[in-house]
Amino acid sequence: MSSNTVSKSRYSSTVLSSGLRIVVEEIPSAASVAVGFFVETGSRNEPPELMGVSHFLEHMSFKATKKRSALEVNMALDDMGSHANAYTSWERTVFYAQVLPEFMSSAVNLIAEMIDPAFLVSDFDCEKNVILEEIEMYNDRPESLLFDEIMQARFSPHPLSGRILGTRETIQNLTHEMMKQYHSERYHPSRIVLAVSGAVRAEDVETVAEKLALGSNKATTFSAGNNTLPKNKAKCSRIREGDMQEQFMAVWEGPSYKEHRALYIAGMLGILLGDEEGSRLSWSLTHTGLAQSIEAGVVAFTDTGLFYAGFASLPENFSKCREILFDEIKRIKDKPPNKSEFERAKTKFASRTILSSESTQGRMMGIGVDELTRQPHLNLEEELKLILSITSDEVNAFSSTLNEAEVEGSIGPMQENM
Amino acid sequence: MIRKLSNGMTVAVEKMPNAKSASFTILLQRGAAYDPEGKAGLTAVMTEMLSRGCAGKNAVELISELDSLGIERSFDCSAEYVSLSASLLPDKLDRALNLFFDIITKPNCDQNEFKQSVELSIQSILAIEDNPAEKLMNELGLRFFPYPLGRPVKGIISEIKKLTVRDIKKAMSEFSPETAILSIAGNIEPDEVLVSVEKIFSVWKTASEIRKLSLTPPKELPSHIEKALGAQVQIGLAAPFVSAKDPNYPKAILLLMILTSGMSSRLFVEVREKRGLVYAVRAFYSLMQDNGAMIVYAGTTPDKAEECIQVICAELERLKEGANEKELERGKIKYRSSLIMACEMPSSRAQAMAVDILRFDRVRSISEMIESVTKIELEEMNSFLKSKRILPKIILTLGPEWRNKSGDGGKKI
Repeated sequence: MSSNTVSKSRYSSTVLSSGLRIVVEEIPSAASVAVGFFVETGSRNEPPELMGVSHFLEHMSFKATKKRSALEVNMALDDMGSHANAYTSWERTVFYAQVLPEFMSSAVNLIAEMIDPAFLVSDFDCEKNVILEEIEMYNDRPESLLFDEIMQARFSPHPLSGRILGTRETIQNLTHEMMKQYHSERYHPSRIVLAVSGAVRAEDVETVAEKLALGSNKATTFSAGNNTLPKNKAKCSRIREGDMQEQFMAVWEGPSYKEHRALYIAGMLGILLGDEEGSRLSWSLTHTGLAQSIEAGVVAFTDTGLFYAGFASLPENFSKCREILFDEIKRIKDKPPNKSEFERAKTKFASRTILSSESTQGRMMGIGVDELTRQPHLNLEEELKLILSITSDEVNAFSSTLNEAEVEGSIGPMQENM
Repeated sequence: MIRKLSNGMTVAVEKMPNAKSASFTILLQRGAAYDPEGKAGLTAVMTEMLSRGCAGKNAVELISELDSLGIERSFDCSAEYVSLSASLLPDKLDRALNLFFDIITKPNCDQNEFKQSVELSIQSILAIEDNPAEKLMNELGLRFFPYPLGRPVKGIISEIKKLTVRDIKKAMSEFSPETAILSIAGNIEPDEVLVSVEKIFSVWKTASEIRKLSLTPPKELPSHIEKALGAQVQIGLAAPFVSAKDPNYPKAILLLMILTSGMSSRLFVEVREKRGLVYAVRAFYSLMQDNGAMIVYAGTTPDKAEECIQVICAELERLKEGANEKELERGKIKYRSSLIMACEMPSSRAQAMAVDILRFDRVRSISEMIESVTKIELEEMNSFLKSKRILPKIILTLGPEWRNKSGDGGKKI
């Protein structure tokens, strides 16, 4: 085996006087730089009549700024040869670009400019149509709809239960003024993390960041979203006549972002239970041809989490698959993994962590989310050490909490299935 | 470093000094297009069976071994080839290559595993109904590419049901080193790796039968596939385009950059940004042997479908008017950027190397690829654009009824 000549990465974090947090991971051997702005606002912060506004706002950030037209923004992104995009989640909105190292400061400056858009009415009206198309696109992908149903059942009536994209109604009723108001309340440097990974020096990032004018919004206290979170037990079912398969998912309480180690433990259980190959659900459901696909894992939020397990199957196999899924949950408690099964899962976990560390974008996303969610930063070696230190007792302790599912949801052609 | 083994197998190895992992791709040039008449889906079932046991190890033993070695793997098939890819830590490479050699040359072909693979393959075909964009692409290929290159890779349910284990055994015996490509990239020493590869793969004997495909023109099929309960109309256009060996191939790449790469590209601006007709619109290049195609995809609601198709066709037509200097520069930086960033990952590089050998009989270096595009001058690009008209041969839609009241739909366009 050849020796590893990759130089070690170096991590630094600062807070500017504006409140902007900056985290940088220097990876001298990288060929690119990934830049991300992580804004601490998402669908959970939306009052019901504004459902979808955070995501719409994400779209508006690719339109005219105070200095450029929408086309000029897009040309500037392409002039850098960037791979740029954004996403909106329940608790954050993230804007990112991966570029060659020479474009780092252009990328940081441009995205900072973009997240304080001009909110032109013409841009707003046109982009509304794009969002309505996006909603319809997902309406043709049933596997992407089930989790929305689960979230709604679990957290209703809290805004965390709402749709990230909004609905046709809420989007059509959104006004330009409502959006500007929301932006002024939520986008403030104290709620933003700038994360950069790759062939970059921390001091260069800080120099660029110090000069950023991140808008003139005043910091406000958090509004909707921090009330007591309901945790409903429910069964939900959505009938879609045109679908071929029935999708199913069950969720249990899982660790929140505040429980750092517990997230890894739950992730380990996800691999043991629902990994594509070699997991308990894959052997009994997909390997046998009973189900088309399976999945298991954890979704974390600031103050709660969900552990999920699910499958997609033809209606004629649905009942059997559902029964087997719950049997496997029971069996992983009654007959926990032996040493070799456990070690294999650990190896997968560690291997994947190393492989994904080769992507500067992957690293940037990790350090950005960690900082925004106030989790401790771990470099690759520390993260591997954590993974390898997980014991089967810890995993068994977590799996023993998976009793009756909190929420069960299905989507598909079946009229009655639970 | 590229080498041909004594048995004809082509091997390419490249060290990536900044990588942590190693990755390899094996292409076996016996893909779904080689499935005999009446056995469409054979390759798909066979591919599903690859991880289900070899050299006397049953499925549990094989999958457990792959997992113990921390190998991230995928087994796929296209019309032209079956591909096996793996990413792993370099110290496991030898063992992985040995294991993959057994997977290819000593399959168990267990009857029970076969039955389960058949079930899964059938379900996989049915599941496409819930993914209309994927279904559209399958149907578009069927209408555009010569048969059986364009035949959907997953096959036909009635034909899969008639398959036997013997069919699988026969198909796997058609894998041959002469038509096999192995590429390895990452944190490795090429000399050492080549020695291992020689040792492992040289014993592989040529297949007794290496068939050639006999191609026929695609059948004429309807230009709209009804899916009444669909939310969007899926739109696909396919136009003849250059083949990889064409000397204008680099200009074709640059054309694609201008047309579809990035948010200031023509399709994105005209179809989405200016008119709000779609969320998704993109063009990409597809190649089946020497048949090159430019494929355009868009998804839109029924009332906008007609305009969407018109705008896309107008943009394809407008290409012949030429590009401006800025567009050219942007296209070049996008290409250079994408290549460099993709090649940070050994898995991308290994995959690219294998496909290069398939298309060009050699491996192009990243700098060669960049140079071939960045040296293109505006004048020569514009004369290429003028002469190379992109004319959609097939326009296909899938979804709810969208055609105007006169019922003429596609023909009018």
